[in-house]
Amino acid sequence: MIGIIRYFKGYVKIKVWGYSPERFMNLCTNRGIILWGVAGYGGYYTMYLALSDFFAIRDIVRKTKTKVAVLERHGLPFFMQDVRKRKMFVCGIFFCLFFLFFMSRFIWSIQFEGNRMITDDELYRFLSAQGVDYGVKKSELNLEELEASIREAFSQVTWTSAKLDGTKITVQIKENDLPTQEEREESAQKFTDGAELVAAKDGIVVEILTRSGVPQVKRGDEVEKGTLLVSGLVPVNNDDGTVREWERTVADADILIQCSEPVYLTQKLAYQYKNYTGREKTYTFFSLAGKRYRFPFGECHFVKFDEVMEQKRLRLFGQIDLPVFTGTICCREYLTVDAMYDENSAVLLLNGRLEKIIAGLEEKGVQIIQKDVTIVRKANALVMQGSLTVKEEAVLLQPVTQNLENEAQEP
Amino acid sequence: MSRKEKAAQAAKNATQKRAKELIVDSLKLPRDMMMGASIVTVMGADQVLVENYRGILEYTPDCIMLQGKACRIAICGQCLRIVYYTNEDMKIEGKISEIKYL
Repeated sequence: MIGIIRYFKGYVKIKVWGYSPERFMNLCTNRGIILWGVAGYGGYYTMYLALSDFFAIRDIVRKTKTKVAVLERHGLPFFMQDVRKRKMFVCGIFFCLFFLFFMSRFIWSIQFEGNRMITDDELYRFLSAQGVDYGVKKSELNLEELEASIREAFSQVTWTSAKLDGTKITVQIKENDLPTQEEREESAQKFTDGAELVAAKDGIVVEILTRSGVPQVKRGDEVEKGTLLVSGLVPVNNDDGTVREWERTVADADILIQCSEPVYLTQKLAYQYKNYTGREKTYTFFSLAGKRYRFPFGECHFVKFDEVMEQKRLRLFGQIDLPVFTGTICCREYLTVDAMYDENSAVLLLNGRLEKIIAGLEEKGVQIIQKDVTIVRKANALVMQGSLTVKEEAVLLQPVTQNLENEAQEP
Repeated sequence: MSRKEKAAQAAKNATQKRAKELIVDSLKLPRDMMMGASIVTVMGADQVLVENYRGILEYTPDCIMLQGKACRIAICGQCLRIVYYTNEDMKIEGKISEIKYL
């Protein structure tokens, strides 16, 4: 704070030498002149004092028989003096401030957070249609209305929040992971006449836990694809044990079927790889309003090349996003080279691919019990074939297909 | 003034000083205000704040001699510089090696 006040009032750095500089300092302080940054250099002293005080030290200098020279001048009064000769510079500062102030009244960046099912493009198109776009005045925005319209337009959105931060609008979205009301209704309508569970694959039932419906198989049973596992028809019996009527229900059960998953992977021994020649050409670009301008001009003359692009958005003071992107494009020349894998590396590659398949299955909740695979060489390729024994919930829910006429018994 | 008179004057002054000290202590008055004692606050080995002094007697990069109201204070060290210097107090920075009361 003191520094700011000093700057506004102006201050000078002086050099004092002569008969009695110490007395000069004492007299200064006695008259209420504040000195700071006093440093002694043997024969002379340097110190700072306020500009207004500088004009009051004349008689002190005379009295103490010292000499004073101004070394440095600091502060606004001196700046203003210098600026008089640089009118355009001052105009530039004011214009810059005005430009910043003017431009900060518009939206220059739109960011979406939390959307998984709805893409950024979809949301951006929707916002554009609602009149929220780059370059729109902030005062014209109604964020609450915008939030409501997003919730209305996208049924899977359960919560939205639009936040204005400088010139950036951040739309946070929470999507519903559960089935929507429509989907639930559709599902309920689809199975009004009940639903049953059938096997989706051939295998052996290893676990069955029925929640609703009548189980038709038990643990250890062998089933084929399409075999009825849990029926959606529940018999309501009379007192004498005969069936009075059939109640239709949507079957629900946890069923694990042990089945085998065929594996057939081939790995060609011949392959091509890119051999980078080391020749590179780097272009600088900036893109404005969807158009990209590249320097130096002209296309890359390499026959085959990869493009590596690094792009970043221009941001003023780390806060204000501008609709201008800059970056570099690096073209790296390569030649394609034909090569052959030896058998060991090909086997490693095949094993890697199998591991990936297994990881994918495990991610889906499938348990791998056994791997029976063999690798054989066929012509110019290695083939991995065999099967995986897995335990999975291979069931399908479908509308009831059982014929009631044969089974129902009239009371 | 004869030697006897001088001794009597010194004794009188000492008695007065003791009486003053007694009053200051018993009334718990600020000692620096009443006795004109300088306050020297040393922060680490590189900063000294001095209050209640009359002025600078000598200033070199190795020693700053100050005139207090009751005695002289010499602050010795290396690369000594006065950060600020007002009528009330002053702050000295540098590599301080000793502070002497003369």
